[in-house]
Amino acid sequence: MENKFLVNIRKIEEIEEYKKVGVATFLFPLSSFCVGYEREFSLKEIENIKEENKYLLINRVLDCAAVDQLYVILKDLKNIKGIVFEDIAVYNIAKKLNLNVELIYFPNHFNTNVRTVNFFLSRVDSVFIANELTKEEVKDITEKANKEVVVQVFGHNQAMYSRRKLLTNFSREFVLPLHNPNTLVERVSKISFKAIENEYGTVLYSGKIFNGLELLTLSNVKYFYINTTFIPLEEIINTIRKTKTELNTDNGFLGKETIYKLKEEAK
Amino acid sequence: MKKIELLSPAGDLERLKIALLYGADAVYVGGKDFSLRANALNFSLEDLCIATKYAHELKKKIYVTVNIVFHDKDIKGLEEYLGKLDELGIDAIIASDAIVFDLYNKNKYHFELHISTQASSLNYETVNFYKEIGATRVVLAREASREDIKRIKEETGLELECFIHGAMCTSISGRCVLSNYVTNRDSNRGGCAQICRFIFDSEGTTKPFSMTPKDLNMLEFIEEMINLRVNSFKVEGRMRSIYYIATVIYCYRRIIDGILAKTLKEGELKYYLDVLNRCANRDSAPQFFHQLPTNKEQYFLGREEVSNQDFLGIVLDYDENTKMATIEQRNYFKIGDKIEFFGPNREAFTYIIKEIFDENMESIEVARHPRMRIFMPVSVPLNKFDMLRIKVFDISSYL
Repeated sequence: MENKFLVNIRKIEEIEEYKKVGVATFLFPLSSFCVGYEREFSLKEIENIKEENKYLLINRVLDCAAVDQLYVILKDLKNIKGIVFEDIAVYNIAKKLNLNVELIYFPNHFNTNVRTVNFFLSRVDSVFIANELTKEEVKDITEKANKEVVVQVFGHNQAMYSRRKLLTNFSREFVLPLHNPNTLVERVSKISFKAIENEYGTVLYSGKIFNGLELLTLSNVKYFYINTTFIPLEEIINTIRKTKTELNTDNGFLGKETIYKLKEEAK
Repeated sequence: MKKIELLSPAGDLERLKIALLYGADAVYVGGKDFSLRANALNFSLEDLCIATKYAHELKKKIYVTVNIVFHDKDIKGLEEYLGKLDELGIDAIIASDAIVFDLYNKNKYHFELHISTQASSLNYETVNFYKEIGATRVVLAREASREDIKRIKEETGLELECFIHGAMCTSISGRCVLSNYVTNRDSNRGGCAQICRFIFDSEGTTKPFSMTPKDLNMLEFIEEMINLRVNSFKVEGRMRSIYYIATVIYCYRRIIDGILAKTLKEGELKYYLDVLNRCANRDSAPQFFHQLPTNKEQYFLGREEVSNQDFLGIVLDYDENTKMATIEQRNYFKIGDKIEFFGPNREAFTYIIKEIFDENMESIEVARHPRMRIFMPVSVPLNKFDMLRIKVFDISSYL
């Protein structure tokens, strides 16, 4: 039976493994238009995969040259169900090209309240809800959203996106071999982040895997997203099969509200 | 002459006055709520009323940041607050969350909508999107290259605001929640603890490092940015001191005016660069405008920052008859020190301290107590809000 999981693909062969556990919707990072993913695919590769539910991922903050390129390559888009994108420019491009695909807006840290979510839902087909919310906040937003939304339920969470090539700069500065990806540990707190870099920048993910499987009971959800980056395929498959995990995980901010002002901390 | 806006930060009323007097055409400020820099002093509605009147009397503008990323529980009072800002007659708000855009369009406020740099605008279609929803200006991401700025201006015609000076995020602004993970403080609601400036260890090496970028400094590209038709040149630093604001605005005012009037002399830019770097106590670089920053535009083992005590005092009053200046001390100085006065309406001039009097008009050798009020005879007329600093650089040696 098909489920509502959406997973990003790293190898085309993985698709068959995912289908065995009911996953029917796949996300493909588009080559030259993504940051933070281990493997990207050319548009031709993606279009040639014989699956119905294929989404392109475009998650770079786009410069003008990238927008020009997207106009060219998206013009003749075929065999693609939709585009998941971080930069709102993609919405304008799709509109001007009159693309007949679903548009899902994924601005990472920004969709944090009902009204904002509905502002974008009046323009696109769905949006990702931010990860820096409590469970109650996520539940409230999903319930009040005017369309079905996407919620990340598993995987390392994006914690920072820099246009700088931070790992390369580090290796150059100290004349060291480049380790990409790498794990960075903040010295005082010992909190770790996984860093991965490409030509377009560096992404830091939470070191711990986010386990938001408790969100699977939410309604009005179009997809439950699993970011598979850095996690072995068999662990992802096991997690989907059992809807629980034995990996060392935490539930991010679902049970831990972040502080707005320092005075709140003193309360 | 072409009008280029020099836009200054102001963390409170004192800084706002200094910024406007020293040459800023506009200031951006945060209210007590809904603004990043949540832990700065910020402006109450009463302060905003005073600030707006003050700016408008000088025929200058005031923009209010409403730039947090809102959670539902933060929304209470937002619409009422925006209505109050409208009544006060502020010139624009700076926002990044669509909830504010939505309220802006619903309520047809008189002020303008400027899109914050937190929205990471780096291309013409993103800017077109914001234009279509009613924005009159976009603050570009600091990652914008000269090619991006040129294209965006050509394709959108919208007012563009670009940062020219101050601290940089390691991340694209708005795209970082490291603070949330390390300190549980919400980066996008003003709680950024600057985790990127902390020390990290990495796998595969014993070398610790930070990811701290050097400050932004666009001095050498100001003329090119003017030619690219950037409308507003923005200085970062709502939590910076009055001395920092005075110095930075003083320098950029002269650079912009000098370029526009074609009177900027060779060597002046180098002088201003030295003054600006010393004032911030750290190095700066143009960052993304002309290249992708490398390891040379970063600090790796903490900020190489040496604090100085250059800021000696601020002029509170000047008696034309007795030629006596009343000064509030900010750092230690003494008779015989070679200092420099600078101010909103004057070129900097050198002065060697000959006499100092305390509040009882007793002669003293040294002004050693922070904020002590002293009197000093100065033959050149001074104005309230002129400042005195240690004489370090002499512009004549640069020309």
